Amino acid sequence: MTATATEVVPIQTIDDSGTAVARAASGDRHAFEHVYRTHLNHIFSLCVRMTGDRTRAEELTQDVFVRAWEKLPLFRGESAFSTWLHRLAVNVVLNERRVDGRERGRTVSSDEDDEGSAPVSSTAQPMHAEKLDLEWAIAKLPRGARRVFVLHDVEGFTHEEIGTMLGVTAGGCKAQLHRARLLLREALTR
Amino acid sequence: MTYDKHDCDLMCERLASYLEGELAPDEKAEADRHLAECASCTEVLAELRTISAEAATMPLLAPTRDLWAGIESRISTPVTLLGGAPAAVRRVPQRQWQFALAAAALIAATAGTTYLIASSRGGTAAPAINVAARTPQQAAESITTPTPGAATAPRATPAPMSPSNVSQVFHPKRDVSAARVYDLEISLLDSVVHTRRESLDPKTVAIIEKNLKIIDKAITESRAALAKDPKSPLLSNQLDNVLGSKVELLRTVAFLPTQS
Repeated sequence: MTATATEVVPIQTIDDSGTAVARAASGDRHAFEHVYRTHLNHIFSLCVRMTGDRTRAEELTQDVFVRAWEKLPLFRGESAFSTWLHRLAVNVVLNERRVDGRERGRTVSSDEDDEGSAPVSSTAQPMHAEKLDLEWAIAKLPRGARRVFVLHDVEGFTHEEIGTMLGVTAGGCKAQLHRARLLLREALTR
Repeated sequence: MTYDKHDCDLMCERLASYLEGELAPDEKAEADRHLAECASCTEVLAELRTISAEAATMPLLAPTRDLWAGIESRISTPVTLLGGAPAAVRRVPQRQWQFALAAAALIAATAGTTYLIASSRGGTAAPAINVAARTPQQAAESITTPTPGAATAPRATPAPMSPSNVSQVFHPKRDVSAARVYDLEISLLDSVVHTRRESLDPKTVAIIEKNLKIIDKAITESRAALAKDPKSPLLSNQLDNVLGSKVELLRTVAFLPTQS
């Protein structure tokens, strides 16, 4: 039986993620809520680590899922849905940075990106010690290095993919990654 | 053999390539010799590996509040059509040929009515705004929500969409790509914007042209990248995104008020 957008189906019954995605793509908001709850923490974690700000990350997470709802009918199934959603999330976060820069009346260059460190939200929640240290140290990285580190070492994107997303060469991406790792090492062994 | 600070600094620089497995055989052999004899560099290498490994297994974070209510309210907001009839949230059919058909209908509805509305609409001088800096949502709101001026302006009512009047404008094939549909809409909107250029505030026109150049450059680069890797869904998605940005910008321009 095919559910329509108006049917109310208990979330527990939408147990197959692929089915939920297909139904959400056809306009079923209830199925989309299931998709949201399945992927929420992955997307939120990406947003927190990319921005270093939990409050902003919550707003961006909402933006990501609204954008996903709008673009879901274009999902062609050429990659796993989670991969598609992660790439969409990265685009939303990176685009937000660009818009942010224009609103401040300037272009955010890679040099400016690296001035100072990212704000660390006072609402950061405690986790177990080593991971908390690493989480804290990532948030303190310069923006350019942090984005590359999160995309490569945390999210598993390749240098070529990151280069395309950030508009830098794969070589530049590798250099930023090494710099990020050295900075993290310094912060964690201090 | 002992290594001085300079040697270790060079080794540290090489660790990036070492970890990536990108050193030439002779360079790797030299690095291995250095690492076998230098405890300090070996420690750095081990720590970098640990950081990388820990990053890959970081626990997921959860927001402090439920975000669904905010998302649901945004995706539930009905879109008001220019014709005035309320409609459900716009959804695009799932299959690609259906998408192409829907896009063709959109062209028929938006480009035609955009032209008719734009050509028959008066108004005050447009403020100089950075249109491309607006979010897609803001742009969509400006298009789908009638302004007070627009509500009273004479306007053509589009004929109801049906397969017959869609086919008068465009004959979609089953293999039509989203990029080609975008191209067609951009072409139609371009002609609308071209006819409006003289009636707009020159400052606005300058900003629009600047933003169009940025978008066109992104389109060119995306197409070039896609030509090298035609099967990449990432590049395909990126091209769709920039083409969509151009459509949004052109549509917004088509609806800007005329300079008095």
